[in-house]
Amino acid sequence: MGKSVIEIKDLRFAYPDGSRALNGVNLAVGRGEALGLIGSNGAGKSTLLLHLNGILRGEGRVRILGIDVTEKTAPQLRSRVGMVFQDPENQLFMPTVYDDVGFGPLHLGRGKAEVDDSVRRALAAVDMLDFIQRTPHHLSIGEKKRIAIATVLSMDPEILVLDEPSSNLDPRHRRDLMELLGKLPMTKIIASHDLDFISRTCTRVALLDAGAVMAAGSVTEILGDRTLMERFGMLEPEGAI
Amino acid sequence: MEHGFLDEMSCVQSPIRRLDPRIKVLGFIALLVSIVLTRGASPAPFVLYGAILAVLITLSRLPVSHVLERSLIILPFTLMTALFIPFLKGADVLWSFDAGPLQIVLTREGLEAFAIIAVKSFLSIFCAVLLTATTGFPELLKALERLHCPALVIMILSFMYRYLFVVQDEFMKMRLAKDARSAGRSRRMDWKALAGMVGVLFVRSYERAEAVYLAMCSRGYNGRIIVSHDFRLNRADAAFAILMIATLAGINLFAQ
Repeated sequence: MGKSVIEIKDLRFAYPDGSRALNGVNLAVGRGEALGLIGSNGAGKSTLLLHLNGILRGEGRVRILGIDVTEKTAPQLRSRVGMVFQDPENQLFMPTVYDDVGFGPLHLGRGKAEVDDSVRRALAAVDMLDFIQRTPHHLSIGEKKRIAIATVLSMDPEILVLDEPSSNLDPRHRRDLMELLGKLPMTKIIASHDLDFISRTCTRVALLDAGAVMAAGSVTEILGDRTLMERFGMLEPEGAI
Repeated sequence: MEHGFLDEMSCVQSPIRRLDPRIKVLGFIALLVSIVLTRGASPAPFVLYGAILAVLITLSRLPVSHVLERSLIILPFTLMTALFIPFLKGADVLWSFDAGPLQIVLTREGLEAFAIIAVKSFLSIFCAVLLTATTGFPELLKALERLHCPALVIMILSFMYRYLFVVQDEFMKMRLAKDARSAGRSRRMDWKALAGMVGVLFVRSYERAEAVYLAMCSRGYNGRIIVSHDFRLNRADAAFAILMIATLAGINLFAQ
């Protein structure tokens, strides 16, 4: 494992209504790693992801790229941690694909030519350059997901965070997405309960349950451990993995 | 689910479609203001405005039926505001009716005023339909941005454009789900269900707004809206602007 780009120590978080979502998460992710975050519904996966760019801040320590996440550092970290949300309808909020992919770079204070260049590079990376002037509501879900990834690639993030990237995708779009993620070199955190997807896109897996990391290790170590998977309700039918 | 109400005609290529959106917005606003501010009962200026619009509609290659259909939306508003005008006081009484304590009088002056309002509102709506049907909504927003319309207003309009379809989609899905489970129910129950659906839609939209805000924050948004511009004027734009100004000035001078 390389130098840690994400270090989380005893992270606790409760929502304003009092429900405890994270109960002492400990996690370290090395540079260039692809970490799969698995766990049943309500295990705290999405809450944990929102801590990675400082949108939520709980008790404990979150260190990203060697910087402690605080109110002051969160804005600069947001450009370096690209967050792709589960529902692309929420991720794509501008009237055209160009405006959407350009939103990040523009708000980072880049100039017109530079924004233009970032948008083209990001769309080319997800193979969607032809869609640059389209409006998001006319796209298919697979296309929306790819463009949602482009909206953060345009900020040249060092860490890519994806929440349930394979949800609602048909097998072909799902495979295309796996190929695309395989080509992206940065550190990746992928939260999902699509175990097959995780096993094909990740190098390491962490299992989250009741707001804490129950186990972490290589893909075969975790996904291959039937008793562990069964215990935390992650078991797939025989032979699916 | 498909719905192209807003951008239905924005793919029709024409000289009007290709004009710089800023020039188009300014041109049509000038035409509109000129129509609204034209005084006097003489029909000549209105005939000329009609002629300008006819030329523009021809140039825009929009189906006339589309323009007319969209223009009908103004009808209820015109009728509501102008319905009582023919009964205003005037010297030249055309018709009167005694209804007990109430006397209804139809005057020529009132009728003329009504005709002018009706013509003005139809000409104005033609302008609006022509502008929106020949300009994609995103371009229209860009043009307004460039013309120094407040960024907040632009942002609200752009979210409206982006999420109108999403909310409509959610509503259509909910209605499908309701219809699938309600065979032969009474109409009253339908209204009750509708009320519930509107409530759910509101809560969902509210939650979506929060999710969108998180997505915006994740991409560097900090409450300050930044916009970029990319328009360039060409000869056709200049020609359109000059022609529009010259014609409007001509009509207004003539009307005086």
